[in-house]
Amino acid sequence: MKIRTNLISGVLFGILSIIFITLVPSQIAVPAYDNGGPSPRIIPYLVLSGILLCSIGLIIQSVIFKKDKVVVYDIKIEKASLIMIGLIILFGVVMLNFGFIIGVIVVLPMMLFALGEKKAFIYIFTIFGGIGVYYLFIEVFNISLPVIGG
Amino acid sequence: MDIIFEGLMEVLTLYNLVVIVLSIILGMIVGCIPGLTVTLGIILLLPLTYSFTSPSTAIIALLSVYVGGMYGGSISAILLNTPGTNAAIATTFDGYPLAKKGKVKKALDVSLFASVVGGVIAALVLLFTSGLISNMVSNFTSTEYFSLAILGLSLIAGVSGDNIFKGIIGGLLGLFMSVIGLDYVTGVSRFSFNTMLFYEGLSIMPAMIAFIALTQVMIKSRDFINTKGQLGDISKIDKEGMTRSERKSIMPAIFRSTAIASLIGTMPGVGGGVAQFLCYNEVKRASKHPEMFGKGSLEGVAAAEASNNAIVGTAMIPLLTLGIPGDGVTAILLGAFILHGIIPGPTMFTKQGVTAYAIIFGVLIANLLLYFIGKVFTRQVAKIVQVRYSYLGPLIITFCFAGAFAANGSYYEVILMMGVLAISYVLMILDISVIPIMLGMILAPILEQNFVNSMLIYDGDLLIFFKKPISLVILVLTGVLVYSFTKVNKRVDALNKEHDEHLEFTEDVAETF
Repeated sequence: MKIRTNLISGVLFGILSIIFITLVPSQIAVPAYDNGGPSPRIIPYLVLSGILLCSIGLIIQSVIFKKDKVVVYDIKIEKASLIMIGLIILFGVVMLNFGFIIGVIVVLPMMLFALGEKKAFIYIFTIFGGIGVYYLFIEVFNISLPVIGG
Repeated sequence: MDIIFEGLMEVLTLYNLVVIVLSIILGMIVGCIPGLTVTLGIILLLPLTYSFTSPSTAIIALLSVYVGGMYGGSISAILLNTPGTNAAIATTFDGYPLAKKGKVKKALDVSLFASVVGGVIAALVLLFTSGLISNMVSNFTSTEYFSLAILGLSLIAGVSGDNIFKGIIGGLLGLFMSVIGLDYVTGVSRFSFNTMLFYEGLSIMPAMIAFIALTQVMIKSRDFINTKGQLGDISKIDKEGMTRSERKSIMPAIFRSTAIASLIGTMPGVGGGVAQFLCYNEVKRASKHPEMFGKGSLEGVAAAEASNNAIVGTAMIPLLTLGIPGDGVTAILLGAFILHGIIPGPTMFTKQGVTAYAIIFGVLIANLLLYFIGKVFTRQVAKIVQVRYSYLGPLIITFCFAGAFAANGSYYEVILMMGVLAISYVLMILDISVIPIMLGMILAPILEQNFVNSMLIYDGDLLIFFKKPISLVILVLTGVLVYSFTKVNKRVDALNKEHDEHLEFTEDVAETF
C-alpha cells in the first residue's frame, strides 16, 4: 500500500486539530476569578491553530504543488512491528496488573518466540536478565516496581 | 574563580571517576550497536541516575554516555560499514574502505585519537566561553526567556528533515501534549476528559522512553525478524595501529574539523549529524590528497570523528548558558537537567555555579578518559557488535518499563506511555520525526511560564516581545537561524547525494571488473 505521507498527515492532523479546537470550551474551564494573567485556553488555541495551518500547508504541498513523500506500507514487513507493539503493550498490562517479574516470565519468552529464537539458553538468559533488572532497581537503586497485589 | 575550583573538586572524586568510566563504556556499547543510539543510552541510564545523590554526577554520567557513544558509533561504521550513530555516517566513507584493506586497527586508532582531540578542544572552548556568555545574559527577564524558548524551538527547522511543515506539526504536538493536565497558574485542568488518566498529564520521562527508546526497539526487532537475525560481514581487528608520522599528518584535518564543528555546535539545531558532512567536505577541499577521500583516507576518518566529538562540548554552550538545546541529544539532556532539578540558562552560573562547572569539567575529563578507555576496551566492545539483537531487545524493554514507572511511580503514566508508543508508530509511517515532539514537550513549560509572567508584568501586551531590544534581537536571530537551517539542510542533502552517486559508480566499476 502506497501512502502519500504529506497528504495523509495534513488530513489527519487537520481533522484532529479541528476536533480539539471545538473541544477547548468544554475541556478548559475559564477560572472563576481573574488573576490578570492570560486565559489557560490561549496556548492550546495557538498550538492547535498552528497545527491546523501546517496541515493545510501539507495538503497544499501535496495537492497543488504535487510535492509528496510516498512511503510503501508493506504489511508483510510491518506485521513484525505490529506484533512487537502488541507484545510491548502486553508486557505493560501484565506488569501493571500482576507485577514486573510475572511480566518478565510470561511476556519476554513470547517476544523471543516472535523474534524467531528457539534455543533454551536465550530464554533462560532473558528471564534471569529481566529478574536482574528488577532487583537492580529494587535493591541497588531503591526504586520500587509493581509487584503482585499492587 | 572559587566556583570553578569547587566545580573541579566536585568531579574529582573516586565515585565520580568510576561513574564516568562506566558511563563511557556504556556509551561505547550503545553507540557501536547499529540500531541503538546515544539517545537510547541516555534514556536507559536516566532512571538509574535518580539514585545518585549529586545531580551533577547524574548529568556527568549522561554526558559521558554521549562522549562514549560518539566514539562507539565509529566502531561499527568501520567494522560493518553501518554507522552506530547518525553522527558517524561520514566515518563509513573512509573507515570501511580502510577495514576492507585490512587496516581496521589503524582506522580505529585514528578515530579514537581524533575523537579525543576534538572532544578535549571543544570542552576547553565550553569551559572558557560559557561563564562569559552567562555573565552577558544574566539580566534576562521572562520576556527574553520566552524569546529564548522560541529560539530553542527553531531547532525544529534543523531536525525536521526535508519537510518543515511536518517538523512544526511535531513541535506543536509536543507543546500540545504538555498542556494536557493541570495548568500550574490557574489550577484548571486541560483536556483531562474527566478521567484521572489525563488529569496528571504526561511527564517527559515516559514520553521520551515511548517516542525514542521503545520505538527504536520496535524498529530494530522488526528488522531482526524480517532478516531472520542475519548480520553483515564483520571485519577482524588486526594489530597494525597508527604510526607517529600518520598521527602528525592528520593533525591539520583534526584542527580544521574541530574548529568548524565547534562553531556549528554552538548554533542551536545543527548537531553532529550535519557537522560531520560539512567538516568532511571542508577537510577534503583543503587536503593535499583529496583523491584519497572515499577510498580509505586517514584524514577523512579524522575529520568525521573530530567533528562529532567536538559537537558534544560546544552543543552544551547554548544549553548551559541560555537553556536551549544545541542538538537532538542535548534536547533530551535538557529534559534530564529538569528532572534532576537543575535549571540551565543565564542564572545557572550564579545560582548553581558549582554544578555548572562540575558538569563542564565532567565533559573535559570524560573526553580525556575516553582515550585510555578506548585503548583498553575497543577490542572487547567491538565484539558486542556481533551479539544477536534478541539478547538485547527484550531486556531493553524491561529497562524502559522500569524506568518509566520509576519516574513518578504512576500507573497512569505507564498506560499513557503505551498509547504514545502506538502514536509514535503512526508518526513513523507518516515520516514525522519525534525529536521536534520531544523538543516541544521539554520547552513547553519554559515557554508557557515565561509567557504568562510577561503578560502579567506587561498587562497582556503581546507586542512586548518585539518592544524589548534584546528580545527582539533573539527573535530576529531565530528567523535568521531558521533560514540558514533550510540552506544548510539543502547543502547536506546535496553532499549526501553526491556521495551516494560516487558509491554507486564505484560499485558499478567493481562489478564490471
